[in-house]
Amino acid sequence: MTKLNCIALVDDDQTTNFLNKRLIESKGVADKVLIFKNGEEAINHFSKLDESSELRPQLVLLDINMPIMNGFEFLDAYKELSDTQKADQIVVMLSSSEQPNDKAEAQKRGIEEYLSKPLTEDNLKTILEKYYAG
Amino acid sequence: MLDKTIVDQYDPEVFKEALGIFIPDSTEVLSKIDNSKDHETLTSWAHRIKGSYLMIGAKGVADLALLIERSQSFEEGKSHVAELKSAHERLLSFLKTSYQIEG
Repeated sequence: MTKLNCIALVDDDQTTNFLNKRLIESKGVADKVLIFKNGEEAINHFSKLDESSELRPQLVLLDINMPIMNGFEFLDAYKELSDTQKADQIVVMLSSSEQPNDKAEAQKRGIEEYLSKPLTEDNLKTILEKYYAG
Repeated sequence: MLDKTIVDQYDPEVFKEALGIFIPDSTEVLSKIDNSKDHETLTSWAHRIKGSYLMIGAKGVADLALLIERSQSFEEGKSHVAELKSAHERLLSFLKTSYQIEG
């Protein structure tokens, strides 16, 4: 599997973050895994980074329903980041939401990938092969 | 009770460690579901706990939380809470026995 420098997990559920981090680490998918408990924590981190930072995630796995700043509010704020800060970065929704509108809302904000929880090795592999192979 | 394809993704010790997070966290969320005073709060916590159940492969219990999340009224949502609490207790009992978790 392709190896990334850094992956960010944005989710308020501790069990989700713990298991996803361990899955990513066990498959050797990324050198670093960052955890943010809501969109605001993540956007604060992203807004301080430049293109060369080792803590700039190449892949962001984003939940929708979170306190303080949810996934859609994060995407609205994310859009305002500089192109340099967002360069070569893929945001994937990872949610247990059954709301039919959520996928459409994500697409409206430019998100092409929408995964259902739980994250699996196969899902991860598909994303990596699609966006990072070669 | 658990989806083996999900559980088997993780090292058994890692999964057991995750249960050490899941058990107190989900129990607290369940209490918030039980004490919810309005439909929005109720469905929001139901969604949250559903995600936790799915992460550990407890799809059957997640489906009960989904019934609350999809409810059209506070009363309808509340009508499924007792069943969810009962299923949650059975799940915890199973997890504690299967993974030799104390408490």
